[in-house]
Amino acid sequence: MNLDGKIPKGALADKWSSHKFQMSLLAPAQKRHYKILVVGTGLAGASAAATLAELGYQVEAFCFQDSPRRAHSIAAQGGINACKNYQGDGDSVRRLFYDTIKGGDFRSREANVYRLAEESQNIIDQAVAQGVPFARDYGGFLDNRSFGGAQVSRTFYAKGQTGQQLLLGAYSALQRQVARGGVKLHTRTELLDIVVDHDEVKGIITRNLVSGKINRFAGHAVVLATGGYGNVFYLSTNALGSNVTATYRAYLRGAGFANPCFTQIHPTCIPVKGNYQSKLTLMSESLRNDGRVWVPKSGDPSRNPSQIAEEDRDYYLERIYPSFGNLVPRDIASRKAKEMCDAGKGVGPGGLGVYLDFSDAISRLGEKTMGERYGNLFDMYRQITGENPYKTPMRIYPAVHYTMGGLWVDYNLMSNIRGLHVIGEANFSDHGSNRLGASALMQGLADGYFILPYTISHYLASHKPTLTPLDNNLFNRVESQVTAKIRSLLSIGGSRSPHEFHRELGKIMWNYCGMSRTTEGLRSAIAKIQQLKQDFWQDLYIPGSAGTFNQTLESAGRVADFLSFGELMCQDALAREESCGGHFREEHQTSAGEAKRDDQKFAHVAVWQHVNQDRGSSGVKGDEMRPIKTKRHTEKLEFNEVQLTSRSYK
Amino acid sequence: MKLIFEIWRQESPDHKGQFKTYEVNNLDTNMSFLEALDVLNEQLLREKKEEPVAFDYDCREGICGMCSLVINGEPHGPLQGVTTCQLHLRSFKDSERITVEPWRAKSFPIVRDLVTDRSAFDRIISSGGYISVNTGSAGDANAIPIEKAKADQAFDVAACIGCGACVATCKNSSAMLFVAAKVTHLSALKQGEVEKEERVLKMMTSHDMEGFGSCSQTKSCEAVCPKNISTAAITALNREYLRAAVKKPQALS
Amino acid sequence: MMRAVLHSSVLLKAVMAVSGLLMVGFLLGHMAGNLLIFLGQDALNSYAAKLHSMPSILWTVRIGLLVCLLAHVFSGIKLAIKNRQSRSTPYKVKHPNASTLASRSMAITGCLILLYICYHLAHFTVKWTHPEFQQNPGDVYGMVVTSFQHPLIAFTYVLSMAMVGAHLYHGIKSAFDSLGFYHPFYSVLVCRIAKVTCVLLALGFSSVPVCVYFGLIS
Repeated sequence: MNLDGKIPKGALADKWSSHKFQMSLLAPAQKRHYKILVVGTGLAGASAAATLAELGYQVEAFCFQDSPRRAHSIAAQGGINACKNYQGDGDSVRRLFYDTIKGGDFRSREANVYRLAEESQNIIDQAVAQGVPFARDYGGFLDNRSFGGAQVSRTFYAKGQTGQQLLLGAYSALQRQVARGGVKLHTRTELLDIVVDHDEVKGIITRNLVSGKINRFAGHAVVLATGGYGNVFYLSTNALGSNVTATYRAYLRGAGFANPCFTQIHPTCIPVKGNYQSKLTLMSESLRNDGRVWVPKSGDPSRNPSQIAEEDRDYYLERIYPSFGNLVPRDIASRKAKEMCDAGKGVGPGGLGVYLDFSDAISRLGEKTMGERYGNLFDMYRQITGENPYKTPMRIYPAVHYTMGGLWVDYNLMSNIRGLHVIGEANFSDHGSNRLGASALMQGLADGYFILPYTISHYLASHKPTLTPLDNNLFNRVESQVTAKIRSLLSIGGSRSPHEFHRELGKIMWNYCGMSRTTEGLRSAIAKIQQLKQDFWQDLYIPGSAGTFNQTLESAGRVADFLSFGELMCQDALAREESCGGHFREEHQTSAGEAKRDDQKFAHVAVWQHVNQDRGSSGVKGDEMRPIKTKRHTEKLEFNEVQLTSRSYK
Repeated sequence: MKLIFEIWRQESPDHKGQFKTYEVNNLDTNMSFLEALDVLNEQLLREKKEEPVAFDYDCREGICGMCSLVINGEPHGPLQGVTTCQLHLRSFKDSERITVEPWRAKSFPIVRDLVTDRSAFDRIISSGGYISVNTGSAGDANAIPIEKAKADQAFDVAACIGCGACVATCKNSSAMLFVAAKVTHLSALKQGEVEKEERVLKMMTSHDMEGFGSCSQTKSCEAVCPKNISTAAITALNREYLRAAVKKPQALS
Repeated sequence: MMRAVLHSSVLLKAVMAVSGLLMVGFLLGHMAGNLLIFLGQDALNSYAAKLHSMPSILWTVRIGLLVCLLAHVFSGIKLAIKNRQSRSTPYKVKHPNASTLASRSMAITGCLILLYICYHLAHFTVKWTHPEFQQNPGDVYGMVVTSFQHPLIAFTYVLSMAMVGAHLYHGIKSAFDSLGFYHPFYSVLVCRIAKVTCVLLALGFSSVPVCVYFGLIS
C-alpha cells in the first residue's frame, strides 16, 4: 500500500504556499469539462461543493437527509477556532498549530496541522461575508471565547449554535450554485458503493431512499465528506442517520482506513435513561467551571443525593487532580467517571452516572447569576430528564461524540485510491488522537473551502476529461453487488430488527472499545462482534421491499457496515499498544493511572487495508458473514518543529 | 404508561391515506415522543403484519429541523419552543389518545406516512437566500463592524431550522415566516445590504410560485415555531418587499 | 407591473390593507354622521341635506369607496382561492394554535359584510326594499326610525355590525402588518388603537337600531 503523505519540501511555514504555487492548474474553460461527485453536505461537503462549482466544475452533491441543511455539522455548539488574534493575547498561526498538535497527543502530521492553522483565518472572513451572525462586542467587532486546551481566546461563536450558523452559510452558498446550475443536488440519496478501476475512482453507486432506485454516477473525482462513525457505539451524540457506510465501503474497495480506534468521548452528557434510548445529548463542558463532580463514597448509590452527607461524598476529580480539579481535559474526566461507575459508585438508573453539583456555586452566586450563565443548559437538562438542576445535582455521563480516525489521505486530501478525496471528519484528519474543542468546524471548512479546491485541480490537471461510460462493465459489476447485498438483507427473514443488533453492537463497543481498553477485552469484543454478525445475517428481519421508502432497510445496510467496522476498530485498538489521547489501553498507563505514549513504536498512523479488495462488498450472504480480513500498514509521523512531551494535570 | 396513537398511514404519494390506531404499552414517561414511535415500530416489526411507521428524524436534539409531526393538531406537539424530538411523554396523560398527522400543505407533498418533501424550502433559498460571495473574495472579518444589537437581531432570526412547522400550522400554508427569517437575517447585516431588494423580491416570487399561501397574520406560526421566531420578521419582510417593489419595479416580473 | 400585483401575495395583501384602511376611515365618518340622530331629527336631516348639496364630493367619495370595495373584494377572493389551494387535505384535529377566531374567519365575516352592504344600499341609498321612502327622501330620520322599529331589520343591522367589529378586530392591525409597519413601541399602540376603533365602530353603529327598537328614539 502506497502511503506517501506527499508532504511538500521546505520550511514548515512555507510548505502550503509553495505547494499551492507548484500545483498544476486548470484553465477556467477546461474546468467545466470535469465532473466532481461530492458525497455529504455538512460543513466540509457543502463548502467544497459550493466552491468547486464557483470555480466552474460540474458538481453533483449527494446527501441522505431531505436537505443539505440538515447535515449533522448543524449540531455543533461551542464555536470555531481561528488564530485571528483579535484579542491581542498573543495568538498566532504557530500557537494554534502547536496547541492542536499537542492536544492531539502528537499523533497528527505537522504539515497538515500547520496548514489548518493558516487557513483558519480565511474561514472567519468567508463566514462573516456570507452573513454568519457571529457574536459581537459593543464596538461591533467579533467576540471570542476561550476553550479547552488553549491559553488564548480564539473561539468565534454564535451563541450555542455555531455549527448551525456556519452550516447555513455553506448551505446557502451551495444553494446559490444549485440555482446557477453549477451543482446538481441529490437529496435523500445514499452512497452504497464506489466504482474503482486499477486504484482510480470512476464513480459511485447510490440508492434513492424514496424510490429505492439504484443509480450510477460517473465522475472524474469523488469527494467523500460523509462524517464520522461515532454511531458504531449505537448511543452517541451523533445524529441517528450518521453512519460509516460511505467510508467503510470505500475501505472495502481498497482505501486505507487510518486510526479507526481514535474516538473522542465527551464527559458531560446526559446519562442513558433506559433501553429505549436512541440518542445522547451533550451538555456544554463549560458547566464544569461551576459544577463539582462527585459520587457517594460508600453505601447504596441510588439514595437521594440530598440524603448523602458532605463527608460521605467523594469529589474524586478534586481529590485526584488537586491543581486542575473539575477542569481536567475531556478524556481524563470521562475515564475517571467510568472508573467510579465500574467500582459500583455510579448514580442514577443502571448506576451509569456521576453527580455534577451546582449547590456550592448557587449558594455562592445565587440562582439568578447561575441562571444567566447556564440557564439554557439547565432548561435543556430539565426538559430531557424532568429534574430541576437548581435543586438537585445533575447526573452526567460520558458519551461518544467525535471520531478522529477516518480514511487515510495524503497532504492533498486524496486517499490511496486516486481521485477519491476525503474531507472533514471522514478523513483521518488533523486531530491526532484527541481533538480540541472548536476545532472540528475549523477543519471541515478549511478542507472544503480552502484546501480541496486547490488540490483537486492538481489531480484533475493530469487527467483527460473523459468519463467512464455508465454502461461499462465496471459499473455493472459494482451495481450488481450492491443490489445483491440489498437482496441478501431482505431475504434473511429472521425476527430481529436492525436496531436490536445495533444496540447490542453498541454495548460491546462501549464496554470493550470505549473509554478504556484492554487486550483481553478487545479480544473478547472481536469474538462477540463476529458472533453478532453471524446472528445478524441469520436472524434479521426487514419488512417491505427494496423499491420503496424503507427506513428499516436503510438502517439494516448501515448496521451491517457498522458490524464489520466495529471489528476493525477493535483490531486497531488492539494493535496500538500504547495509550494516547482518546485511546487508553489499561496496560499502558503510568503509576498514577495516566496515559502512557510509546513514541518509539507508535509515532505513526495505523492504516488498515481490506485484504480481498477486488471483491469489495460482494453482497453474498456467506461473504458478508465472515470475519474481516485486514492488513495493518503504517505511515511514520515525523516531528521536526515540536518536541514530544507528556501531559500532566496533577 | 400506555398511549393510543392514531396515525396517518399512506404508502406513497399515489396511494390514498387513512388513519390507523395503535396501542403501545410499557412506555416510559422519560421517553421522547420519537422514542415512543420507535417502540411502536419495533412492535410492528415483531408482529410482522404491517410495515413500520415512516417518520423523519435525525439529530434528535432539536437543531437539524428534520422531525415534524402534527400532534393533536399542534405542530411539534403541545410544548412551546421545542421540536418533536425534544417532546417527552411527560407531556401526555396515561392512556391518552394522540392523533399524529404529517405536515399538511400542497407544497410539502407526502412521501410516505408522516414523511413529507420539504424541498420547496431549498428552492426558495436557491432563489436568493444568500449573500453572493465567492470563496476567497472576502475581506477581513473585522473590517466592517456591525452594531451588536443588529448582530443579535440577525442571530435571533437566523436560528430558523427550516422544519416547516410554520407552514404546517398556517391556515393558508404560508411559508412567510421561513422567508422572513432569512430575508431579515441577511438584510440586518451590512454584508447583505447590497442584494437586499433583489433578494426579497426573488424569494417571495419563489415562495408564491411554490404554492404557499399568503400571510393572514394569525400569528399561529410564531406560536408553534420551535425557535420562537417572531412574526415581527414577517412585518419587516412586507416593508422590505414593498420598498423594493417601488424602488425596483422591473425586478418584480 | 399589473401582472406582478396580481401574482404577488404581498402586493395583494397591501392592496387589501390600503383599501381596508380607507374604508375604515369612511366608516368613522359615517358613524359620526349616524350619531347625529341622538341630537334630534333636524340635526340628522340637515346633515344629510348638506351632503346631498355637494354632489361632486359625494360622488367622489362614493366612487372612491366603490373602487376600494372592489379592490378589497377582488384581492380578497384572489388570495382566498390561492390560500384554499395551498392545502388539499385538511387536518383531522383542528387546533387554533394561538390564532383568534376573528383572524380565522376573515373570509366569512368579509362575505357577510359584503351581503350586508348590498342590502344596506338597497335599503337606505336606492330604497328598493322600502319604495315608500322615495316619497320623502329628505327625511333620513324618519326612514331610520321606521326601519329599526321592525325587529328583524334592527337585528340584522346589529348582527352585521358585530361582523364588522369582528372583521376589523383582526383587519386593522393586520393591515398595518401587511404594510410593514413595525416598531417595538408604536406597534403595540397601533394594536390597542385598532381594537378600540373596532369596538367603537360596532357599538356606535349598533346604538342607533338598538335605541330605536327600544323606543329611546322615536
